[in-house]
Amino acid sequence: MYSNEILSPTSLKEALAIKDQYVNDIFPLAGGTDVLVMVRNKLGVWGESPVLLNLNNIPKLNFILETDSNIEIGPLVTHTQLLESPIIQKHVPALIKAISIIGSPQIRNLGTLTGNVCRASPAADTLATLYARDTQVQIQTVNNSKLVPIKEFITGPGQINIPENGLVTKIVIPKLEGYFGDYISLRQRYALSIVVVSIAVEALLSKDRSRMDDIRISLGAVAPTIVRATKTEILLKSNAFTKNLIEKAEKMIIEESRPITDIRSNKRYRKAMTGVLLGRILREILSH
Amino acid sequence: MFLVKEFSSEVDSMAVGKRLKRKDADTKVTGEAPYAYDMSFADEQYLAVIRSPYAHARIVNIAIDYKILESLGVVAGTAKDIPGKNILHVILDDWPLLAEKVVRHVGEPVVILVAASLHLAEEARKYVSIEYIEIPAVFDPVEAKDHPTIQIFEENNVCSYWQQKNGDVEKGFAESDIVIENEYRTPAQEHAYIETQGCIAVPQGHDSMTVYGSMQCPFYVQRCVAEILGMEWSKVNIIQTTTGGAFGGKEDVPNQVGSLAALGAWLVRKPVKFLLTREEDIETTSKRHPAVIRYKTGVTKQGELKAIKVEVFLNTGAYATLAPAVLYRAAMHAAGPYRCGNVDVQAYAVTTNLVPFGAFRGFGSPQVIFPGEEQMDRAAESIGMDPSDFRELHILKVGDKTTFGQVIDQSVGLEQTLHKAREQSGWYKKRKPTPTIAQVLEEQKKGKYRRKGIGISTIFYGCFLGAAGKLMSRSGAYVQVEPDGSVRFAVGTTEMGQGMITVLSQIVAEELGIEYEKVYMTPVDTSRVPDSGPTVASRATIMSGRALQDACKQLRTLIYDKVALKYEVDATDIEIKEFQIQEITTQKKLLSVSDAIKLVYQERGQIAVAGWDVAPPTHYDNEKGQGDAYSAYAWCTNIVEVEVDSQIGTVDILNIWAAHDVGKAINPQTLEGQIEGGSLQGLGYGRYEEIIFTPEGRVLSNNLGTYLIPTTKETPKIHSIIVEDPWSGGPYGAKGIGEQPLMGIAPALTNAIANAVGVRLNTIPATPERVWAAIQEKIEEEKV
Repeated sequence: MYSNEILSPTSLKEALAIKDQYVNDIFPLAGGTDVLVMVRNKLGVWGESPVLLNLNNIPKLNFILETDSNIEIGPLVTHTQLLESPIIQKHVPALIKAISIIGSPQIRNLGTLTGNVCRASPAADTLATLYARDTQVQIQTVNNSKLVPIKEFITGPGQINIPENGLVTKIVIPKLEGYFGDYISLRQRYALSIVVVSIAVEALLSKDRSRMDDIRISLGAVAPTIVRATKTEILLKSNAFTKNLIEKAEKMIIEESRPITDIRSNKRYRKAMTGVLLGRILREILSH
Repeated sequence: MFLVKEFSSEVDSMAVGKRLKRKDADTKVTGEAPYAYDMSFADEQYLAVIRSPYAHARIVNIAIDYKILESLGVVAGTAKDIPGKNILHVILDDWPLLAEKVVRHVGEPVVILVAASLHLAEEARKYVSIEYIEIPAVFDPVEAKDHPTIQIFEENNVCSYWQQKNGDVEKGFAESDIVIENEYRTPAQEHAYIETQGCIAVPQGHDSMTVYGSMQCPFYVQRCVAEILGMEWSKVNIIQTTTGGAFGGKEDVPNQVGSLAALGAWLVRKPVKFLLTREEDIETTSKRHPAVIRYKTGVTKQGELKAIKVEVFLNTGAYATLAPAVLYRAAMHAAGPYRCGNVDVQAYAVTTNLVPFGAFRGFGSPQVIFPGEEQMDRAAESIGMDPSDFRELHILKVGDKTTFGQVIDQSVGLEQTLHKAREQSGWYKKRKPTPTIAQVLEEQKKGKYRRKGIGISTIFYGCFLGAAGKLMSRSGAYVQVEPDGSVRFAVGTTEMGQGMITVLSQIVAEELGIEYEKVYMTPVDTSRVPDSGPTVASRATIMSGRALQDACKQLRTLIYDKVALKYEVDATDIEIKEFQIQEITTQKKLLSVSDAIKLVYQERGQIAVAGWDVAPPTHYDNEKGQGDAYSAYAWCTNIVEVEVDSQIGTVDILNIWAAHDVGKAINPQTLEGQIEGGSLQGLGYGRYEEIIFTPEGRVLSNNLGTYLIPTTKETPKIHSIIVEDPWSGGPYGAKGIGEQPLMGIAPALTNAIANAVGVRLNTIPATPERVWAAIQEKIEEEKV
């Protein structure tokens, strides 16, 4: 009952042509850690099993590249590949921290970063850091290719903004020189569990360490999508970086976050935790 | 009736007391062991169940488009198609196989569909439409008891009641300096066995029915299938397949699963497979009863335990199933393993519109042990006494009376477990004064968020079924000789992962003096093995073990007679030593035991001897609230060490010391397996696991991604400590071990949390949200 029609193109060109022909009646498959569960449970976009567009026979979609200003990641790159990549370890350490606790070793061996992005879960581990980095998503169709900021690409829980004949062909993470990056997530257990609340920070201190020249804070599992704590970012950027400011920032981020109660946690706890987690990261920065 | 076999040290032992490899290790490790899912039959059909979407509703009409179904080759069955009685017998006979007029919980079976493929059976759902009228539902046991309008079970929804009465509690409270009173709540816990429920029914035309499946109690299933189909019991044959975990979840539920498959097979006269998905299993099958417990304890400043008053409201869900038996255990364990002259326990099993709850390792006792051991800790705290010292003042010793008036005259190893656990854990060194909330906050300001704590629980376990289940306390066994000199035994208790085959093989090997490798167990098939009673209540090793001892004794006499005749020696002058039969006086070796068995075979053929046993008598007078509740008691002390993050409320468990008095460890290795597995499941109960229901009474956490059990990453170091204070009624002095490893972990854990951060929980599991909220509440209370 779970049998599906699966099309396995061997080139990107062919894959785009198939997507162009089938549009919404075909669903891209990379690692399958989420898609195959959805197929089994007949969840998500289908009441019935859809045709799958298997991208795994296109080796060219598997790459981690460093350019002058960006890190580029292909759609078939798995979490394990990212964990083992010296490029990611050097340039996006917060992402390493996030990925190391996704699912289980088996899931990390199969699941992909692009899959995590396209599933658009507000609790996805990788997304908080990608938002803090102002990551871009490359969308390609048979005759077009464009880069879309991640916060425009993801529009809601499980919802992405992509043309019906489009495929994501690259994730572009800007390098941030001199930034301190960190990621903390709370979850009900240490493996195979979903985020209760998460926070990613990318911070650039002034040379004399008295101020924040730049700070990006993103929160997971407190809104329908990952959100940036913009008010708190402004507060931190416009004042001297002191213990006192950290306490103010903790209060502000609690004010600013709008979580809900669901099966995994409750609103009051999630709200309070945004402050605790931000405080921990900021104190770590201050003490360095 | 019960004699201890002369058996002193491991030196004499041929099998018992040894760490022998499990009989089922190889097939389970290689994956060759055949589970229900692995079986297939020619022309097999699949079953889909149409279940109630409502918690409480009247069925107005069931419309089935038989024409279309027939054209698709699908057969539908309703309550009207049941040839026998529409009752799944457990205790009170209130549980129908298929709902006819009223549905009482979400997921209750109403119609079955049988087709050549699961896909087709699922597709056919759309040709059945059931019209319901919803009626008001109730989900909380306190609310459901004596509910003015909602009636689920008879007038007051109370399907069972047990009490304990001792002395005068009001007088006891009056004499107390401090009275501690709290209301506790415990969650529904899912068994989360690795193999979901499943049965395959194979009809022999109209004549008879064979059901294969994953189960604990094949003889329960035999009765249900026979009654549902209106068949003689001897025409119904139940064969247990390799069972991938049960924990009580496969005690009564296979009655339903097997009977649904059997009804399907009866209707289509073909083999019918019914294997539940994880979601269907979690949503519709039994779990640990959630409970509300009101607990009041009175102590004096000198540490006297003056009075204990407990009210237990066990939420049984929509049908009583095992509730009367589960409640009995809850009532008997409610006041703990302590001496207390004034006790009043009132326990009610109340039906509600949730899924029927049932047996789960500990069987009603973890629900009362959590509050009971919390109260003991709070009492000790209130008088400034170390909680282990306070317990030591009150625990039962040989010759003491339980709170329900039973004198325990032997095998009371609780004090030993307490001493050993305390010593090995370094209790007094690790136990730091409990901080005030102001101290916790002060430390937070200095950047110290994590605090360690250590907690304790001392518990007892009434072994086997006890007075409430004495009619099932019998046990049969066969032992049979094989032509090659090996031995085969048959019992009706089952292996579900706990190690029973191994342990019973060791007993048979020991009794006959034959090599463990030459002993085999017959697969459990109700047409070939005797009923040894259910595999529940930590009873298989003891009850089947004793029946096997009885059979082996007879076989040994037979062997000795044959040997005496052949070698012309006196049958009373021979003994077994190192698998050999020898003359006692001359120490001359005559032949191996295995060869002697060949001899018996040559003369007598494949002879099987039957053994039998019954548990020592128990009697409980519920009017008086006093009695001999159980034949024997096992004892345990748990010490749990935790580290709590006081800002975010997470609790990491660092160590568990679990000291168990089991009478005798037949196989210390499988015993440690039981202690480790049970401790971890207890840790799940106390720290992680909780079934979440929607306001409409549907299970929301219906898979292992939302219902979280501990993984290896959450597994602490578990220090198993075995204490052997033998019981004269058990084989080699053994009692039970199946359940108690789970029972006392939750309160030891919450007591450790209290020691770490100074907050008390009245509800488990101790999720970060709950611990954090308790800390916030304390901050507000103390205005720090």
